[in-house]
Order: sequence, then structure tokens, then C-alpha cells
Amino acid sequence: MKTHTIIVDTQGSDKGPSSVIKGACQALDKFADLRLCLTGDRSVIEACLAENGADTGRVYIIDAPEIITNYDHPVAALNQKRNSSLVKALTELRNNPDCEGLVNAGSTGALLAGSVMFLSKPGERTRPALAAVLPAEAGGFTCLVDTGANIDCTPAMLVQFAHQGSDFMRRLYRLEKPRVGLLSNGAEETKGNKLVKETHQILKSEAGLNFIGNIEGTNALSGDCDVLVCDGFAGNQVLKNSEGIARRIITDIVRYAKKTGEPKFMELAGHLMAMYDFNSLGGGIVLGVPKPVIKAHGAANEASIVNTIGMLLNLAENRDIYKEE
Amino acid sequence: MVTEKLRQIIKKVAPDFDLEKLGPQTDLRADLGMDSLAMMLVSMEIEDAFGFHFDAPVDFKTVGDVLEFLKNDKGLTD
Repeated sequence: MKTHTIIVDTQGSDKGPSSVIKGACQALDKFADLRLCLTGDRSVIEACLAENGADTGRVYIIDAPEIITNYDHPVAALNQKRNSSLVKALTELRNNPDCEGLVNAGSTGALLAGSVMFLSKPGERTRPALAAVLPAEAGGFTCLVDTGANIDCTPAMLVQFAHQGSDFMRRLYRLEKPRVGLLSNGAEETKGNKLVKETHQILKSEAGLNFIGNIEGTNALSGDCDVLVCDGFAGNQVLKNSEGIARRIITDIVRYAKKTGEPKFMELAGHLMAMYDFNSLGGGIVLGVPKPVIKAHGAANEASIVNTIGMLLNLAENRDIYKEE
Repeated sequence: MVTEKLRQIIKKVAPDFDLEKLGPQTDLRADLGMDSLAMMLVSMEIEDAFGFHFDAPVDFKTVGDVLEFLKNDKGLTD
């Protein structure tokens, strides 16, 4: 059986390294073709692997005691904390051709900056975007880009996100012409703020894109488009609002199930939880870098780490996503 | 030569900016809208274009500051 090697940075998560390492151990149990490189404090990792009875024959550790936190300046930390788990992880991903992807639940800024700094070649550097692949109402998936990496955007940046998202969906799901929508407050092309209106006019005549027009927030996850483009501030709101609304609905169903004692409602809540809880969906994919990098939720639990590693395995099996055409 | 290379770098990182308006007083953050990620991209492009490596992360304020640095610290002029 061909194995896939995935790097997991065990540090930087809100819940500490043990939650990430436990998730990694569960992923080893779930995916027989998985091999892991864990970066972080060796003594902590070894203790946690032993505690969880992990198959250590499929694990190697890179000792990296330093941590890049959310309080560090991303670029300064990448330059100064050379023994940090993130720098070691990115270096391994760049230098070891067997390594097929990286999961990190720490500082988003450091991961984005580091991905470009360590992985992109001179002359090929582009501004990275963070995408989320979400299940669509009509079946299939919608790639929401950007979800928070780029808060203040220009039209040129949104056009770049459209290309990055379109390329990604075309290669991952074999879509011939992914439908690209632009998030706005109305479907008509006259709707939107200055950024959206200007971007709309560029996208209309942009070569290499199947631009279908504006998409309203109510249809963000309807499946009307394969790629939904927006600035990182709006995208983060879409993502977090969706999470919040899903949680609210699921909570209401659970309350109703308890009140009525009807097990079918509890079953429904479990089904919805499996579909819409962020821990079930994996993480945000860094677009614009030559190898798969996924940002797991800062508060990711073990299940989320398992699912994020599963996403990376899927990307690893579709490696041509990252090859030049 | 140095100025033109810098113009091309800025064009690449901030393509929406009208290069006709670019001058020594142009503020990288306020006028070009650069954030820390864009500043990193600029510094990496400068390293590649001029063949040196910054010892620490840089935080230039204006285009003039970059040209001044290239002239005074690296001996690079037009």
C-alpha cells in the first residue's frame, strides 16, 4: 500500500498539543495509508503517543520546542524562531519530497506568511488566500475564498482569488468550468459596495473564468456557484455565521428532542452535527502555494484534526492540483 | 535601474495602484494599502531582484525609504 506522509504541527492550538496529538493518533487508526511527521516538543509528543497507544512505526518526530503564538509578529517570528514547530514543519515540507501536506492549528498569519516564505519559489510568489470547501445545498461543494486571510482587499486581489478558487475546484473535482460567483448584497450587477462593483466589472470580461455574477448571502451555500469570491472580512462572517446558525438550529432540535422524548429528533441533530459542525469539516486550505497546507480551526478538537488530515490525504491523492499545467 | 526594478515589484504586489502616482513620498501602507503580508512579499521580491538577504524583517514607511536603504546600505543607485 502506498503511504502518504502528512506533517502535523502539534503546537499553537488553543487547546494545546495534547488535543492535536490525540487527533493525529486517531487519524493513524482511521487511515491505514497515513504516515505522520509530528513537529513540536519531543517529550510531550512521545508521552502523548504512548498514552494513546499510537502505532509509532508510522510516526517520526522533529523536535521543535519553540512556539509561534498569535501574539507574535508573524514575519518576525518566522525569522527569529527558527526552532519553532511551524518553521521546522514548513522546512520539512519544502525539503522532503515524501511529505505531502501540512496541518497547523496555530497563528493564521504566521502560517500564511510562512507558506509563501518557505514553499513558493522566487518569481512565483503570490498573495495566499484561505479557502473553505463547504457542502452545498444542491449537492457538491462550494469553495468560499477568502475566509479571513485578507481582510482589506482590492479588486485585483478578488480577481486573483477567483482564479485560485477556480483552478482548485477544476482540478480537485474535475469541473470543466467552475462557476464563479461574487458575494454581494444583491444579485444585480449594480448592487454591492465600491469593491464589489469594481470587481464585478473586471470579472465580467476576465479571461479563463466562468463568472456567473453576484450571489447573495442567502445563496452562499445553495450550490448556485462552485467558487464564491469575497474579501476575507465578509468570507469570515459567512463562515462563522453559518457555523453559528447551524449550532443554533441543532441546539433547538436537541432541546425539542429532550422535551418530546422523540429519538428521531436526536438522530436528526446528530446527522446535522456531522454535516455542519466545523469540527466535521476540516480546515481552511491555503491557496497560492505549491504544496497542500491546511489551517485547522484554532479551537479544533480531536475529530477536527482527524478530518483535516483526511482532507490532506484527499489532496495528496489528487496531487495534480498542485502541479503546473 | 534600481527605481524601475522597485516600480515593477510594487506593480506586482499592489497591481491596483496607478504607477504614475508613485514617488518617494508614496506611503507603502497608507497609499498602497500594504499589510504585513504584502510588506513581506515586497521584501522578498527586493531580495531576489537585488541579490541580498535582509537580516531582519523590514518595515519601510515610504518608497523613498526603500530607495534610501538600497543606496546607503547596499550601495545601489540608478
